Amino acid sequence: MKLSVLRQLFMISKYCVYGLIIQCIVGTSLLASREASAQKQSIEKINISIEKRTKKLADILNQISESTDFEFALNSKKINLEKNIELDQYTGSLGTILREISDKAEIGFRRVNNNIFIRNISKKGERDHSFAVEEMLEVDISGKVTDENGQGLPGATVVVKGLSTGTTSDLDGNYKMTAPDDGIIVVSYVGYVTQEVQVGARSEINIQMTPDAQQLSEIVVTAFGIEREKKALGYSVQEVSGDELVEAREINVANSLKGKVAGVFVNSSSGGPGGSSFVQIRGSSSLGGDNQPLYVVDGIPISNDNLNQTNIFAGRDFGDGIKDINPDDIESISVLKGPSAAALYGSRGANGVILITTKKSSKKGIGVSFNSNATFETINVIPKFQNTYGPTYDDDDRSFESTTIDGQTYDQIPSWAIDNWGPKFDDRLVVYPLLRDLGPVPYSAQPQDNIRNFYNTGSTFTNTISVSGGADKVSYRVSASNMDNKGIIPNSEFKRRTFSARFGADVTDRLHIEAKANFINSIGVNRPIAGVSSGTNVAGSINLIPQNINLDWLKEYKNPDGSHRNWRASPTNPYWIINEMPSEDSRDRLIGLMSANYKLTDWLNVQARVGSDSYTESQRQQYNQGTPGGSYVNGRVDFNQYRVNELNTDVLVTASGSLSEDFKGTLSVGSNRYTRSWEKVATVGQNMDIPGLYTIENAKLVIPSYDIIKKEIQSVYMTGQLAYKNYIFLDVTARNDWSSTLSNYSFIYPSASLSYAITDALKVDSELLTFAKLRLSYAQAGNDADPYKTKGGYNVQSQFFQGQRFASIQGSVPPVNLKNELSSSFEVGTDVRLFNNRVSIDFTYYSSKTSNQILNVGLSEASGYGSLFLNAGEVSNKGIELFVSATPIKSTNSLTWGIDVNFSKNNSKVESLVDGIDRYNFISTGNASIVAIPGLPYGTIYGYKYKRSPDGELVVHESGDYYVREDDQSVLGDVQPDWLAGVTNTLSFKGISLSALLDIRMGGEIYSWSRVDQNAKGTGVWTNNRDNLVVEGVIDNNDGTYTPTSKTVLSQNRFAQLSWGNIGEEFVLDATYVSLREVTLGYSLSKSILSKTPFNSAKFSVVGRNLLYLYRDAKFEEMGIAPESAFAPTAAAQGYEAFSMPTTRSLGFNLSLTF
Amino acid sequence: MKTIYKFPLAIIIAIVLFVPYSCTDGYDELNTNPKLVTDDIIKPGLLFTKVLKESSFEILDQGRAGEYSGYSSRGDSGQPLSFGVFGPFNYTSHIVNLAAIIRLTDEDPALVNMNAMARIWKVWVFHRMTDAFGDIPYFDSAKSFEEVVTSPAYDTQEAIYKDLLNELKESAAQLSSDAGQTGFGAADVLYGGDADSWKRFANSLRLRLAIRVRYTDQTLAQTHISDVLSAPLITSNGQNATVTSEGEGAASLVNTNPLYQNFINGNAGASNATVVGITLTENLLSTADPRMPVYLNPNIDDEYIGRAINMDPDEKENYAPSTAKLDDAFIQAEYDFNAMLAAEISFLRAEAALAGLSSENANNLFREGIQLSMEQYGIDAGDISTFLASAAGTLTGTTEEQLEQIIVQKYLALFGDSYEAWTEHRRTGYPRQWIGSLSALDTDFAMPRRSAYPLSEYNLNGVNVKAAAARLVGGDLLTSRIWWDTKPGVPFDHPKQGVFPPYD
Repeated sequence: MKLSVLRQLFMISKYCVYGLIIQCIVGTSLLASREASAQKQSIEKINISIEKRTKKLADILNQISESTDFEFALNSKKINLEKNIELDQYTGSLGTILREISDKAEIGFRRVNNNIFIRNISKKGERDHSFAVEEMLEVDISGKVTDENGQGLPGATVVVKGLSTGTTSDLDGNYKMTAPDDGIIVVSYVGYVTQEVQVGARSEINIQMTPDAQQLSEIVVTAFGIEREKKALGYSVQEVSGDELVEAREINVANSLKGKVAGVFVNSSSGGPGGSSFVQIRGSSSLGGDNQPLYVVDGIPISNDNLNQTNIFAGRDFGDGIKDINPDDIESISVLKGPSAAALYGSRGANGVILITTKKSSKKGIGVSFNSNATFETINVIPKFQNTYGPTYDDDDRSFESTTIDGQTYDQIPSWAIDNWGPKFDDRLVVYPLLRDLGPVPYSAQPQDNIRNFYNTGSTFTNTISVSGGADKVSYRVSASNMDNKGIIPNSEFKRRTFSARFGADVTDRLHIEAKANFINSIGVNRPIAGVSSGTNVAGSINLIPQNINLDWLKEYKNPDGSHRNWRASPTNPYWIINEMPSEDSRDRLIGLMSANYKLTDWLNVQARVGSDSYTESQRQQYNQGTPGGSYVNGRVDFNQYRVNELNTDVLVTASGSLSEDFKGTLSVGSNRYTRSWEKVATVGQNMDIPGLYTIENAKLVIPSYDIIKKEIQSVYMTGQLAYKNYIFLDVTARNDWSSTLSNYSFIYPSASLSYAITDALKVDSELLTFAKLRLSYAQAGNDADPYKTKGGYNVQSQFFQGQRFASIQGSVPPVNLKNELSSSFEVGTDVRLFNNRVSIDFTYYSSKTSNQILNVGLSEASGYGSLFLNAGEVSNKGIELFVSATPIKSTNSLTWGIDVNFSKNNSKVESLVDGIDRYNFISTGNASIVAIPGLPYGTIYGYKYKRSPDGELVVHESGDYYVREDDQSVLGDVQPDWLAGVTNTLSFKGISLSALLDIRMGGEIYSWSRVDQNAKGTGVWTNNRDNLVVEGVIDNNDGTYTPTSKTVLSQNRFAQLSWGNIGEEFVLDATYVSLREVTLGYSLSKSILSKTPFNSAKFSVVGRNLLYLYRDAKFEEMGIAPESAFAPTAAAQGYEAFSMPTTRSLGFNLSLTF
Repeated sequence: MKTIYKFPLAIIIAIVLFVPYSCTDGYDELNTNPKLVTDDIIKPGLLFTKVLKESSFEILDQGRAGEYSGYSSRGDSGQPLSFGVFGPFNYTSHIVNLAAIIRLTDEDPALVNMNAMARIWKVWVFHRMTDAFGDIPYFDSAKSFEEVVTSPAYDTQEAIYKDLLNELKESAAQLSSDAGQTGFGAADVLYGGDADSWKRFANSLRLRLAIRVRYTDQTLAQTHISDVLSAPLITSNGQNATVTSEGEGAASLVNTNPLYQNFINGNAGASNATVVGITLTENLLSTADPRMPVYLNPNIDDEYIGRAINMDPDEKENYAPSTAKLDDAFIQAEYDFNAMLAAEISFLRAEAALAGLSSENANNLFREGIQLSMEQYGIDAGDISTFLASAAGTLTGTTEEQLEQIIVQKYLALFGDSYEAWTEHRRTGYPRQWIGSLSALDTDFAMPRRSAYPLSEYNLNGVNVKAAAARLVGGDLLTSRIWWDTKPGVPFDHPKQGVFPPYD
């Protein structure tokens, strides 16, 4: 079946080629008319006389041509000019004569100004005189298109009805064009009622538009880049315009979506500038998958890989794919949330699709725009520590050692000391054995800005220039952008240069081609290392520095012999990390697209498209000799080279038309082939011979490795739309994918959606209820697996021992028969506009189930294997989304207040797992796990609670010294927010606009490793009061009775024991926050000022992002940690905070000019 | 004009060419990792080298097991007797690869030696695991991909020991000296593929296991001891089962002694890991053992005082200001990881004789063991004679007192193999250990008698691990006794228990 569909597609493609060839031969060059002289008289009024006898057609026409100003032109070579014709009338109006010739010669005439075109008429119907002789007189007209307030409307479309000629109004609403004197011009503008005006004899036609009260003609971009009226959609789509992304910008444009789209959860990683972003639409549906949406740029999916993902322990985040897209190039972002919207993207769209449409030119002439943005990043929140007590144990100095310097004996802090349960700071002189060169220093607390001083003020400068333009049939846009970031961590940088060129042309009336090339070069320098591995994570290393150590002492991070100098052997000195463990990475990426669209007939259209996304990335990580930790100590360099290529080719055949007066329909059939290859060449060099020389040749041990991963998906799909009377719309889609990664390659899934415009159907005409629609959809979507999971075997490893090589059996058991995951979802929603569009409400309820989860289930180690791949389990997601937009104040030419609120609530629940396995671990560290357990939310935080007596009192160990935990683990929280909301207020007055975005997350929990650690090490602010500590609770007498305890204990027992004893409950924090995410204050120069400058528009704004938390959990505040930013872009990692980088607040300026 | 059309025409043709006409014929190959090594081409030797190297490197354990053996005592480890999961749970690293070798070589008569060697080493790995935990998954573990048991049941230690002993018997018999046998050759980093050496190792290990169970199942012990004493055993230091780490020139640091790696890396606590326990120093001191300077470096006062474990803050403060440390030889890159020593065999035979399980001469074997151990460390022959001539060189007293002498000498000979020393301490009560009086304990002020099961098992194999825990008297605690731990009266108090400081 599949083959035959493909064959048909091939046939269609062939016809498409034939069509082109025919076009070439026939040609339409005659249309290129000569310049008309200003003869503006109708042929009915021009009288001529010609010789009265039978003549050759050619002679008759010559005679007419000589006696008038008209020129004849042939539209077809088939016209026989030698044919003899005998006319009945010899004098009269030219019109009458031409009609007679038409009748006799079976040809048609069309007069356009001074030209008369001759064409064949063979079909009977066309021989009617009224069609056979047509006349068109063009007049120059101009005028102004204005809105209901009389303000010019720029970009309004003005076309001649029935002709393809037209123009758009300029920035002031003025237009200029030619039109037939008896023609009708059609003026349209989104949101306004389309107007038709008779040209008549007028040369100035001003049109005042009225807002469209009845119809919501908002156009949104849907799957495959098809622009559709929002009214016709049976599912929820939300758009963000490109303007919202450029002022208060983020380096990774995905982060800009935070708080802007209902149902979309966004969190940046702790990878610093240029790091990856975690985006999740409508919750997590896949236990084993990444749950990240598919990014589609101009109709072609792009790769969003994270090439070297960080794990809970360590790793650098080298960023994802979406971070390469320059926000300045984006026209709009359209978020397809549910499977219905995304059904056509097949298995890759199961987590939703983010469609990015880049800017292209539709304007004639040349437009130049320039945007400059400068922002400065400072630390938003800073870790805080107690500053009363110092190192060692037992609340006193008994563990202090003694040492002698110049005959004088001093207390010495033991070199192993890292916990801070020792004596109070008392300014006595102490010696640090590893910092002996300092000599004796006072034992006292350092100022709190000790840490802040480590970080720099970051800066980001972005400059983008674009030139766009076009003529009648071609349009182009080129842009170049340079982004330069210096991070808050000293020596860290991120640079991105993007070049984009886009070209479109109407080659003929039927053929439109488009091409785009987008080149991105990005360079990251010294990206921070993430994870709980405190040794190499700068933030972690700083978190472990006791308050008695002045950071200034550590600036000298090398001993005279070149070895690592620090207050303690581990963690690594943060200055060593930033100076002696450098990294650099560079990516060259080319995203290209070519497409051709050919109209076979008025109702049949073929589109063919090929898009490629390929990039190479090289990463170099160096570790100077002396770097603590495993294989680094003798110097090491890691080179990773990646080459990634994704190619998409598709053909789409679309038929559309009216089936009857009431029914209109569109049917598309298409096929797609997606191939992906991912290659990695890694070379690790260890044990450097010449210090500081990081070449492979200089390494005594070289471990090379090579990986290649290939994947292919072939698909065929169909989509059909049926509209009844423009108020009921039915969409049906079906797609079959063949994915190479499964045992069962083929899987199919359908979708259907319905949109019912109630106000249109019932012809409601009310100021109050402007518009209302109901939508309904059901869809299925699949999800395939990662490549190479279906077979088992052994891995040859790079190690040797005594010259013998190693191998090991692979750690995961391959699946028996791997199938696709399947999501089924149902969605119902409504779209209501009130008070003449002043208020709009968009509400959606959805429910989805994803079954046959592809799981890599952790196995009991005793099985011999770490995990097993299989299909099992089900996850459900239910939720609501609400988007309300209102304009409470709107007065002409003065104050406008707009408010946008989006709200979403999603519950992801694990319905079932594998039989016999009651838990699936996402993240497991032994302290607390992020797990999936049937019946519980996706991403449950699991660990030990305090043991409690039946009365709810905390149970204390029989010694009275410390709290004990429950015997079994239980639920401590879950990573999902209860709800998310974003509130944007925009005030504009004349040219000034002020906009603020509040980003709200309510509920959900985070397990804070920083808190565990600060509690274990006695650095936490809450451990500051250590006098007369009692572990308040009761001791279990083991006979059902409990005795309260009043014993005074050591501070380490009261606090650190909670961490040592792994009472996870203590470290689970509320993730709720209210953040002032974005504020922009802009001023646009008014038209009157601009008219004296070369600029068409000029806007200057002051912008701020991530300004402050209006609310966060008191414990986060106490620690000086942000309740967002996860160590890795995965759903589960959102619930595990691990020495995250301080978050930054950015303030800056944006200047945007067009001329 | 026509040239304009060539361009889009070319595009269309190009796109048409890219569009799929292929079907899924190539998918199987496309979805096969080119790096995958399958059963038919894997060399079992690659797996064997990995397991031998990695498992033998675990012998020198200066972590928790080091402290429980009394060999070391770390100042940085908080509360040494608390917190229970520390035992080796080596299924995914060692057992699964050994099981794979056994499967790969099972059917081929030319590979019986490889098969037997893998079976023998599997016993060595397994006995350390069961000795730490007690009941563990055994029969259902590490099956092939097709037959994998995802939640293996916990087998009783009794059943495991019986099978381990039987495996050793069978595989020793299976080993052939026939030159036509394809062995592991150099991939066998323990014995270079020598079948006779493996046979001696298998028999010696069987002797160790048989002695282990003697307080619990004397019949089982007797059967195997009688059987194995007539078979070739490791009787000279040249026959020791030793894997030697690569030296300072090792290309990869991971091939060097882990203690050396710690020092090279400047790891925090590296120095602590070499602080020795008082159990070691007092037993060397009491008999003026000539191995003292070979094993240890004295403290700054030039005294050999080891550190005690589990001291409370007052005891810590009043203890000797500095303690003896490991001799530098133990932190060199090149180090011998001894899986089985000739000296131990002599002591095992001495114990068997003492217990009436054999008719050999216990005292002679005891003296032979001491001699072998001292020779192993290059002690001067004269010093050895002097030692053997001293009271410490002859078994005296009651049978139990003689046993204490044997086990203490074995303890000194086994130095470096913390798990075996801890295990023998649990089995026999010797050497007696002094324990400080820190209150926060979950072992009743005694050495742990087993390791608690890993948390991951409760997460992923809950039903089975809970069933195993339920079979333990007292449950899955450090104080619960495993199957062979039945000697009455153990642990025995140290003579100075309750006295502070324990030295002088």
